[in-house]
Amino acid sequence: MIDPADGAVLEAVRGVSWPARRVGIAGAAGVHRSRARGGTAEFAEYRAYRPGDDVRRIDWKLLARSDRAAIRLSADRTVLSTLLLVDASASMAHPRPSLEKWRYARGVTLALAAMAAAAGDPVGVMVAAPTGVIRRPPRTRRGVTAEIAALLHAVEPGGSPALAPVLATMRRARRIAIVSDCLGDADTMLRVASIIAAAGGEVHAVHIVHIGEAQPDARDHRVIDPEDTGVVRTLTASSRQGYLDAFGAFQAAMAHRWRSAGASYTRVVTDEPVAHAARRIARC
Amino acid sequence: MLTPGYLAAAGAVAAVTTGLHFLATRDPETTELPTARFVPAAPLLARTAARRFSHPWLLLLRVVAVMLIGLVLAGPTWSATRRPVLRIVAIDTSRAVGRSSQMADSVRRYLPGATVVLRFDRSLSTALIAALRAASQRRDAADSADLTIVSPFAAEEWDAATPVLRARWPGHVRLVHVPGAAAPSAGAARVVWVDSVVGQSDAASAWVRRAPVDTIGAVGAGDVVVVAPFARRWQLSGTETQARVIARWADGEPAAIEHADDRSDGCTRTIAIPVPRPSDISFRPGVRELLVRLAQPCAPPFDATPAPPEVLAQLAGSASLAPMDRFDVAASGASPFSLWCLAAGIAALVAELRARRTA
Repeated sequence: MIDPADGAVLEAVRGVSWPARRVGIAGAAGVHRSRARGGTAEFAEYRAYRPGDDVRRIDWKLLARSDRAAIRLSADRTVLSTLLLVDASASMAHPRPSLEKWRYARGVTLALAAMAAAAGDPVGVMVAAPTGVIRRPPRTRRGVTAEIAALLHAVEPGGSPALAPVLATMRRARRIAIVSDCLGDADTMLRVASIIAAAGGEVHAVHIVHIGEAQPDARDHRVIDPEDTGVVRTLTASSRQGYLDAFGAFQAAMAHRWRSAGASYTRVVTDEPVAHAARRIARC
Repeated sequence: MLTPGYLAAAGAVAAVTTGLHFLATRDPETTELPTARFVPAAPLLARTAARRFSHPWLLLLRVVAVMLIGLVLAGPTWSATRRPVLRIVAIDTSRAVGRSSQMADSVRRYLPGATVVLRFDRSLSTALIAALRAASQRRDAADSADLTIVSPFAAEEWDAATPVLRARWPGHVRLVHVPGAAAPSAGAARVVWVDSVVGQSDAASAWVRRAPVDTIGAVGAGDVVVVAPFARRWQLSGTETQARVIARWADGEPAAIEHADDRSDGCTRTIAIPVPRPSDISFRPGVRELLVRLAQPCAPPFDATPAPPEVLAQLAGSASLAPMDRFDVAASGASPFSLWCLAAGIAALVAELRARRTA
């Protein structure tokens, strides 16, 4: 049973594709372009016949016209194994008790999963939760989106789980989307992501920012970091601009570093509709 | 109000509290913010000022608690009605009063307007002490005090303390004379020497044998003193409390006592002084005077002679009503009203504590 809010998100991304950013290696037939050339109906180019080629692939009409034996090549399509890494740390539970930020991250993850599944891509999810890593390997079967939705619903964010070790185990996935607020082990995660990207993997960083973080209350109040209670600051009218500057610089640095690591970076704020954010991510 | 300064001080504290309530700062609200690390480090002691009046119940409880505590310290007394004059009537009920019907007629005239009615016995000093105490206890209940003493004013009721106590009453004393009792007659004394009748007469039962026998150097009765070595063989029983001592040894112990006879005006004297034996001591004048003193008739039960006019004039005085502020503050414990105020103050403090936690 899918939550009504999740159902609305799935309905909003119905028919939206999430194309691969780069041509993939050969694999099972899918919708993404592959570096392999095969014999499908979609013509790509001719190549001179070489001994050992299947004689059935010789273009006989061309041979008759030009007396050259050539093989007709076509562009192969392949699937893209997609893994979604979701940050379920305490900072994602902001604000309590509505868990608005977590619910938003859950919606974005589900939308991406739905878009990938719609293209026939195997989709899996890994959640760095306080109780440990929750794994759902990539699958193509029907109902995988509902399974992911149920899995995410069962997660209660909290603690400070590390994402980088989990990311390191995801190198075999062709496409990885990291849904996080980048407030945890972002530095380590960036190093691992750069290795994955260098190996040909496709990495998407989805930076979730709650509207309360982007535009904190104007009233004077004391704020405390839920993941590090030793960080207690006083947010006043005078310090608010300093906060906005520092947080803006952090987001800019994150965008630059993720892109430098070969990943795509999308910053989404929780006041943006989930489906709209998912479309932006898919276009990157 | 005994010490209104405390109430004024409480009012000042309440005013300051009210002022501080508007000026008070409070800790800012603490909320979770995952991006708190990006807030510039600033002193955590920063407080926000309350720019508008808030928590009226908290202020009300604080002011009430302060005022009640000030009220308790001020020592209030509750008087339903304040009278212009506190009328105290002291009635003599001693043996010097004659026929009680005459006494009742005299008292009936003054009782209707009396605020406080006192009874005293034997001494006018007792009446004055009781009147002073009553006036002190009702210091805040009236503007002035009027004291009326109904008595035959016998001479025996005037003692050394009476003039001193009278001087402490700051006003006139109205003296109401009632007829005194008839002067009693002095009865004959029956003298019993303990050494002679021990074991034979009940009169000697008040004495117990002294062990060991000691020697004392003198004995006296009134102003007659005989200095000689006496062997003391007897001492007065500890259970004997009704007897009148008429002779004492040099160390103060009773040497002879007197019991009044219930059936007559006479009395029985038991003398624990050794019977003088024929010696040169017997010829001393002091011994003879002592024997005469011990054998003289019994003392009358009381002196019914009226007090001299100058004494009564001194007792009456010439001033008018006694101003109540001239009386000492009664050193009594807290009044019930103060205790109720204290309880209410404590309740207000407890309520303030709870209100502060929930505010």
